[in-house]
Amino acid sequence: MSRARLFVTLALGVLVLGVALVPPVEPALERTFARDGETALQAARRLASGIDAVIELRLDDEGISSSPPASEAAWLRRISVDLTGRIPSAWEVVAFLESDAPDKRERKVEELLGSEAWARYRAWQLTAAYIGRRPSGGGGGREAPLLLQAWLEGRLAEGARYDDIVREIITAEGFVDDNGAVAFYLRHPTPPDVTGAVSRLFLGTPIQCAQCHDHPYADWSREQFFGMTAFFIRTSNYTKRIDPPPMPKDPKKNGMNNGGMMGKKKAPPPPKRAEEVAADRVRRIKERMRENARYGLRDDRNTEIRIPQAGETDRAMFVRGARAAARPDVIPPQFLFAPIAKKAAPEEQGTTTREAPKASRKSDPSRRIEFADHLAAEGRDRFAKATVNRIWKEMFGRGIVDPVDDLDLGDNTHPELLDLLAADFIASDYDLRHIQRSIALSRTYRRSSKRTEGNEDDETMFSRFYMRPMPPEALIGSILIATGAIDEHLEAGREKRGRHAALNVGQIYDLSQRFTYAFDDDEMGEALDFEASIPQALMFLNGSLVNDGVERGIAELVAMDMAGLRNDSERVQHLYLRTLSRPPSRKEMARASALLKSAGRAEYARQAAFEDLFWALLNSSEFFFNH
Amino acid sequence: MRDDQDRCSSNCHGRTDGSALGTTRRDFFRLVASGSAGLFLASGLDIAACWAGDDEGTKARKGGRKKGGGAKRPPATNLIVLWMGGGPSQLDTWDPKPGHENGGPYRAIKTPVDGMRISEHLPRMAAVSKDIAIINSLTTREGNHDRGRYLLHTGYAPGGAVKHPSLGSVISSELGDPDGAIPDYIAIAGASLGAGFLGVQHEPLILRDPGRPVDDLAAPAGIQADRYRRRLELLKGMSKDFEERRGMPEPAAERRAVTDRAVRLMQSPLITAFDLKQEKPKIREAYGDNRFGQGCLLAARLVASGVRCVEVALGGWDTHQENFERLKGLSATLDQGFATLISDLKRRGLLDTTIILWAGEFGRTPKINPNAGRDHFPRAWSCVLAGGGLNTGQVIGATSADGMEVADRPVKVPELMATIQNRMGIDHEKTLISPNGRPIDLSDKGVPMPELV
Repeated sequence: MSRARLFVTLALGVLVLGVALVPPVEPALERTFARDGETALQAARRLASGIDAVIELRLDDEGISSSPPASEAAWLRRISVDLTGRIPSAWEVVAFLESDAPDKRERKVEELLGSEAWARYRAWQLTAAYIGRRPSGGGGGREAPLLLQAWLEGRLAEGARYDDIVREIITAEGFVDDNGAVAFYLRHPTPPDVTGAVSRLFLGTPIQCAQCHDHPYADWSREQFFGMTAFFIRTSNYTKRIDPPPMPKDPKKNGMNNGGMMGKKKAPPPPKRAEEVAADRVRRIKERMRENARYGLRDDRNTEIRIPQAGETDRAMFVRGARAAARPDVIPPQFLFAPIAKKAAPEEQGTTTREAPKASRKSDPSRRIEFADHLAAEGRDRFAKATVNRIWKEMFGRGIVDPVDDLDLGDNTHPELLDLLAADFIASDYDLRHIQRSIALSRTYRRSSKRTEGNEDDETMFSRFYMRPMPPEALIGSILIATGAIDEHLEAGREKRGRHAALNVGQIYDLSQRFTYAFDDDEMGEALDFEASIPQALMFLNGSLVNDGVERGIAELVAMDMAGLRNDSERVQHLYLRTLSRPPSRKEMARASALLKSAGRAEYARQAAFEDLFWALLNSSEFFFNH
Repeated sequence: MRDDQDRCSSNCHGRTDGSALGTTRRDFFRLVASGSAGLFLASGLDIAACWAGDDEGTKARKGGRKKGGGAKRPPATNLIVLWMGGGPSQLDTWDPKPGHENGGPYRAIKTPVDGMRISEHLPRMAAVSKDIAIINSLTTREGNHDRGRYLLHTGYAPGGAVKHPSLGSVISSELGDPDGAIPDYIAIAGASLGAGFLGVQHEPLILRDPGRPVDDLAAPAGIQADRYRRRLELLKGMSKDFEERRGMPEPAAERRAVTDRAVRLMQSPLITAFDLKQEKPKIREAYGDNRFGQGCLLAARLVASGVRCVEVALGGWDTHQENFERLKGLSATLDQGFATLISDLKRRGLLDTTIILWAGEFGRTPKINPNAGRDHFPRAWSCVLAGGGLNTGQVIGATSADGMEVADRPVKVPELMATIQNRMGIDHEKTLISPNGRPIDLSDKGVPMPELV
């Protein structure tokens, strides 16, 4: 480990020299980084080279060779998928491949990180990790994923620090229709659920099994589990039913207000941008809640926790009432990674919290605020490690520590790398973009996914880019891009035509449910893992998302004679760019020509041949996987 | 406010589809009102008459793996799991305690089996009691829906890095035909649990609605066979190229295998098994006009087509409130579907080779709560086995008079798993190695129950 550190230090030294030689970049990239005077880009290059140093040193040690760099097109495709949840459009691919700019990768990464799509996709991936994708249960749980995603997207788009976002979730108050962060608790509705989730997600410690028995492998005891749960024992969800408004006295008038039969016909509203449709959906959910039932959180100051004894149910953990704290078997809050505090005498309790509860307040979240304080203090390093490890896993298909939920018992292949990333994450004021930018610019991330001699068996050392299925949102987003259902220029957020305006975030979400329903295994697993299934294969083979898209796309391509495409070989090339984000090889071009030749001259037959080619491309593994 | 009820409403109903309950009740009452329900109470005979001359659905079955040739009974070849999402009350089904304050208002009825008394709301089950074995002394430690579901599907408590395979995936892996047209593990009306480390080939095929089983099973409109063939040819060429270029990556090979299987499924004559319209209306009605009943019928058809494991879910058992009101409807649905399944399998000559397991996440508290409900209770509860050449017509184990303790012959989940595996000719002592190198026993050191095998 010390040797690796030394090497990293050397490498960083070399890099500082290198940075001076880098050509100047756009001003947008010159925002200053937290570290003295460094620009964001310099910081990312420094960290990227630190990543490469650790990975390559280790590969040397293990005698594993590394795969050569991937093609520019392959890099563009994977960075688009990993940062924004969609493949690049054909135009983006062409523009990128044709560009001679020496810093075109940096510019592309910056463009993607600055896009709306980045915030939206990141919000989806965080939501999936925090509460899962599946709408489920009552008490607002069904709407929770959409509401949490919308809230996270807003915060990320505003440039919020990640530690602030997590603090806002942990200390969330109010109703979910006002504060989307509350959705976290709607899907983790009991104190043990919350404890399990925050420990796993934010501390990399799957402590949940200690609820029922001392952990079989790790050192966690039931007492420690209940000490952690004491931070959340006072918090509960509740539903505020809203009385329906009185019926309007004059139903005719009401009818007219709604543009009914008696009233003038209103012109149809103009087509909306995808974002507006999505925002509408979230707004409608919130309105419905405000009219019917509001889902909120409250914290009861007079609730304490004890460990249920044999034969008691879970519910026996709750001790309620003004004198609850005086009971001898009550467990005080105890952060897992903080030195053990002496149990305060009952009358002193309450002074241990940073914010003394205000007597006038009905709900008192001071315990949760206390937890957030611990997370930022004693929990800081673990929080940073757990966070960067998840990002690493998303971008490399495997965590530095894997499984990602267990920093202690997971297989930690590169401890010094985890330390390096975590330290930089903290120094960058918890900037997710900094970590993603640095990984994106590293040599390690740029490697081909092809096995090469000397790394055939490697599954853990990152000697190549590990192939993996795209997450459901990215897969569906990519189908929409490839079939032209969403305009190529996503950044402008514009749909091509009104009739496709409905294909929005909410619907990507609905479609993704078809995958997650089939795959959702158990909530203790990793929500990001999903693989091939028969229903999913049938959706690709026969479903309307792919097949209508194929028909529409080819109608444009052939019948309408898309501008700029002069002949069949250009059309074939366009289909490859559009689906696989690369031009076809000579062999592939020859095969496509043979296909078109065999179809003959009849327009319908030519169209059918193009459709079949397009269909096969969309069904191919090369399209399906991130590689 | 925060209590188990809150938790349950968000953790379990979503999986087991609460809508089943409403349909169930309404349809049952309609059935009763129309007078046709009486027909089925007579059980076996009438059911058998419905099938006279009907050979549909009894296609050639794949040859079961013959093991232990000297055994007196051939091994079971198939398993049907009837999954009672939410955790059914044992006291109001198989282990009634009439007269005790914990017993509730239901009466117990006698069955032809000595000593077997069950709820008055399960009269059809009483009629087939010789074909079932009730275990009234199941004991577990998991009182949370997710954890109980995991335990009862895999035989293991959740936790740690290993994702254990569910029993259906184990059966698919041990007995299934990887080249078959239909997957060997199918879940109906519920999400079930996955294959864990056994991989995508053994994931369950999930069917939401038995009446409309598989989405996108037909080729897109206007795409004739020759074009479909051309599409698949093109795709095959692309897959081959890609895999060769990338050094044969496993994920791509797995996906290709799944796609191939989907195409085989589309083309297979066996998909008629999914089509319940092929059954006579009387038979469809016999199972009950609801998702569970129709799911049971579909399960019988799939087993007849050679599918190794089918799970049918009936949700709504999480009765923290109004337990007794709600269980009347649930019991009626269950009674009709389960009993008809037994008679139907017998009629098709499949009961001796098909094990049926009836279970949920856990049982419910003997003590009735102030909302006339019962809460989660894993310490002493019931499950039921049927068919498969097991020794049925008996009650195994017993609880104390108040239902709070196991009084005789405690049974743990690994024993249940080992019993089923053993009867199916699977070596229950076999050890698999999980991807991270941990040895995992198929049945967590369970021993087959001598009473049953």
